[in-house]
This record gives sequence, structure tokens and C-alpha cells, in this order.
Amino acid sequence: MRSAISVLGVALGVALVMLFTGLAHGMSDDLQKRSSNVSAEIIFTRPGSLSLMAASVNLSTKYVPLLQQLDGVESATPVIRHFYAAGAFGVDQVEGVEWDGFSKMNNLRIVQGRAPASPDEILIDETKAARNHPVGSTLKVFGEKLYRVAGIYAPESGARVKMPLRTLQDELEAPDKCTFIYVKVKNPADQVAVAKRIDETFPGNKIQLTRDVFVTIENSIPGLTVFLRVLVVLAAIVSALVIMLAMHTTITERTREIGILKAMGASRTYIIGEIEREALLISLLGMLVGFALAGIGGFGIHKMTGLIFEFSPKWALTAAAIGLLGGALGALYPAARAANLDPVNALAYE
Amino acid sequence: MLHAGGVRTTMATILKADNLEKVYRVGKVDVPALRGVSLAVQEGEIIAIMGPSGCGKSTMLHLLGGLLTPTKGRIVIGGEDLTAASDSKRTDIRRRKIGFVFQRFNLFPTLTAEGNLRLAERIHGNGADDPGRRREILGMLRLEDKMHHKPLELSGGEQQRVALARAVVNRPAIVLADEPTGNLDSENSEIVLNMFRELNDRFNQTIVMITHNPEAAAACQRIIQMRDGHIV
Repeated sequence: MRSAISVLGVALGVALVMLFTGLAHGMSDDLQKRSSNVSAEIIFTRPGSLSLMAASVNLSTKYVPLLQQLDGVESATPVIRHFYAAGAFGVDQVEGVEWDGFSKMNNLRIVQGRAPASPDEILIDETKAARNHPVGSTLKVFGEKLYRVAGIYAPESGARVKMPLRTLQDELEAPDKCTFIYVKVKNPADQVAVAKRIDETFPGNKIQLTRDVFVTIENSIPGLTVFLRVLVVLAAIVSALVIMLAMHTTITERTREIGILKAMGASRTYIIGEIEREALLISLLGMLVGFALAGIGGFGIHKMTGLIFEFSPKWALTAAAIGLLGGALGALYPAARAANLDPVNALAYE
Repeated sequence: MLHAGGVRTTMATILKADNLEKVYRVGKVDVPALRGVSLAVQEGEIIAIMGPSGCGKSTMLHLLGGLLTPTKGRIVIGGEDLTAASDSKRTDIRRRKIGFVFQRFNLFPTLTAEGNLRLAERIHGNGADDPGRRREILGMLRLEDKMHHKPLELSGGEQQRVALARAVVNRPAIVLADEPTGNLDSENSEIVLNMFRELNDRFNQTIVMITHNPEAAAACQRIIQMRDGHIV
């Protein structure tokens, strides 16, 4: 029983490292994948209106025809990005787009169903559809209002749910407004020059190159890397403390047996070696259970919330090292204490 | 003394204790347990140490086995000075030259009878793993059919015989037994005492045992009486 608890303690540390790092990488890669399918080179928006987890709808759509008239611009299409609470745990996003212009610009196609034909219809990507949302089903996009899935599009790009721009403007009571405008240039090699031209023509707005915007989540959130490292260290400390506690209990319970070993002539090295061997075995089992827990946990959380986990070999190795080293180091003090027990007192221990 | 095969041999001193004193510190009070005890044990002897509780018998046995260090005096076992040795050296001497048998058997409950012997071999080192020796010892102690039994599957007498087998499996110079029949009924006591005698006869095994049991003492060649930390 005691050993099983120790194994679980180590498993917890390993699983925590795997899940946290897996989640960070999974979400980062997912964002990058979806972002890479945006063909527009320039994002035109208002300063401060678009961040990783929030967006404002304060840009006039009157800029769309003005941008299209600029030299070097091939097309421009307005987008509203809206974040809303989804389920008990998270935040999701929906994009309001003019489907024809948006899909043409970003090379999206409808693989099943059709484009929205009424204000209560939406399009979703294949990943969203795979989570039990076939064409014809309904979705609560925000609030309690139900929207019918009119079609499924591919490849995935930006928010998984798209609805007509007009519908979202009406829902948000923001007529003729959008969050940003995607601008596609005629020659991608000229994107910097075109961006400069836009800035000069429409000063006071924010012009970003998409290649600079869609960086990894790790780089987008200040301190995330440090946060992950702190988490890993905490997991290591938890593992080591669990092992130390387990070994301390083991030694207290086995004081008499250690006394017998000493009476039989077991050296300090032998006793420390035996305890360390047991700790490593516990750590090894804990590591395997931890990997299994992380796999099962990641799968379960993905099924429940849609969060994406991506377990990397590098972090798996780190987690394994934490489990094993935490166990070995955690057992060292109890082992040294056991090796120094007085044999006569140990033999008399009840 | 009879050696294996019944051949008499010349006896040599295997253990010598000179003027041993042991004082325990209890709080701020010094409590003397041994007050100048001298003893010589010849190779192949079986000796019983008797005396009332608190007379210093167990302290004496623990000193002879190197589990305690004397406050004063000297112990030489097989030519090696136990009292001058460091803690690790004393452990080494104990590993090579001494086998312990305890009143409470002190077997490892998760190991089989053979496993307990194998553990002793492993601690002894030198790559010792001698199934033939284990079988011989367990056979001599009538435990061949109990080799794969764990202690809780054995009677008290059988457990003590396994403990005896474990004590002698590495051919120690001397076996120190602390009331080996103290937890046994008379029938099992008799069996265990016979085993001690047989080990002594067949392997010329030197044995020093503490006992309160007059029948056990009667089986020994020499009886040492102790009282108040002295040999009387």
C-alpha cells in the first residue's frame, strides 16, 4: 500500500510535467497550424484592438474598399474576432467573415454542406466537426442562441467557427465595424512596402505583417517559458518529497529489519544501496504510471474541452529524469539515516 | 573436541575478551552493565551464559558481536582486535566471522527460508551464491521441504532453525545466540538444541549462547554464570 502511494506520488509529478508542457506545446502548435493557413500578408487594425485572448470590434469596414484601391493590394476582407466563454473551463472564439472574399483570399473550401444562407447558420472546420458536430447539428456559439451548422470547411484557419460578418455585427450591435482587415498583396515580396504605404495613407491605425503576428504561444505570453520551468521544478520537488516521505516511513517501519541487516554485517553502503534500489524501482514504476496518466489525462481533457496536447520526447525525457532523480535524491537522506542506525537500538525497536 | 567426521582436533582460542567494562549513560546517570569481564572461548566450544535479568548477559553478547563498543577492555576474535577497529571495520569483522541467532528469530518475512539464507550470502559478498551449501545446511536442519516457505508459513521451531541456518551459512568463526529457545515450547527447544549440537559436531562450530533454560545450558560444554556485571 505504502509503495503504491509512493508510485502514485512520483506518477503525479511526471504526469503534471507532461500535461502542462504538452498542453502549452499542443495549443501553440495548433495556433501556428491554423495561422499558417492565412494567406493575407497584412493585418490592418486599430491599436490595441487585437491580442491573443481578446479583441475589440472598433474598426470601420469603410477601410475595405479604400485599401483595395491602394497600389500593390490585391484584395482586402474584414473579420470580426469574438471571444466567448465556452463550457465550464475555457474560452472559445468565433470569426465573422464575408465568406466569399475570405475563402477566396485564404484558399478555403467547403468540404461538406454549403455556405451560410441565413443569419442563424455557421461554418465550422473539420476538427470542430469531429467533436460530434455534423452538418445540420446546432451549436451554442455565445449565449444560449443556437446556430445550425450549414457546412464544414478546410483547411482549418483562425477560429474554428465562422459566421456571416453581418450576423456577428448584429449580435454585437456593431454595424459597419470589424476587428481587423486582412490585406493580400499582389506580390508577397512587396509586403513591407505595401504595409508602409497603408500606414502613410491611413495614419493612426495599426499595420502588422501576419508573419510577425503568428508566433508561438510561448513567445506570445511573456514569462510562459519561465512559468513552465518553475512548474517542472515544482513537480520535481513534489516527487522528491513524496519519495522522501515514503522512504522515511519505510525506514521507520523497517527499523528492526535494518538492525538485523546490521547484525548480519551489512555495510552502510549495502544498506544505502538497498534503499536506493527500492526508491529507483518505485520511481521507475511511478514514471511509467505517470506517462500512462498523462496520456489518459490528455486524451480525456481533449475529449471534454477540445484542448490539444502534444507530448514531446524532450519533455518526456525531462519528466523521466525528474521522476528518477527525484526518487533517488529523495531517498538519499532516509537511506543515510538508516545506515547510521544503532544496531542494538534498531533490534530492540517494536 | 569432535571435528566433522569425528576427528579430534587441538583447540585454539577463537575469541578472547579482557577486562571488559561497559557503562551506559542514562540521562545524567552512568549505569555500569559490565564491570571487568574476561573470557576466552576455544574453537569448537559450546558455551552457555546464564544469569538473572539485568546481569549484563545481552550487553556481553552485543560486545562480543561488535554491535556495541566497550567502555574499557579488549576483544580479539580470530586474531582481529574488535575494540581497536573502526565502525566499518567492525562491521566487516562481524560479516566475516560472526553469526547471530536471536530469541525472536528475526527472519525477513517477505523472503523464503532459502531467500533468507541467500540474503546472508549476498551480504557476506565475494560473489557467494552456493545453492549446494544452502541445501546442505537446510537439509541438516531438516528443512529441505520448507526451503520455499516464508517465515509465516513455518512453526516457531522451524523459523528458529532457518535463523540458525542463516547464521552458519557463511561459515562464521563463532555463532552468538541470544536466548535461542526463549520463544519455543519444550519440544521445539529440544529440536533446536539438537541442531546446535549437530552443527558443533559436524562443523566444529563455536557457539556462545545466552539462556535461561537449564536444559539448554546442560547441552553446553561450559556454563558461565553472570551476576551484576561480573562473571561469578
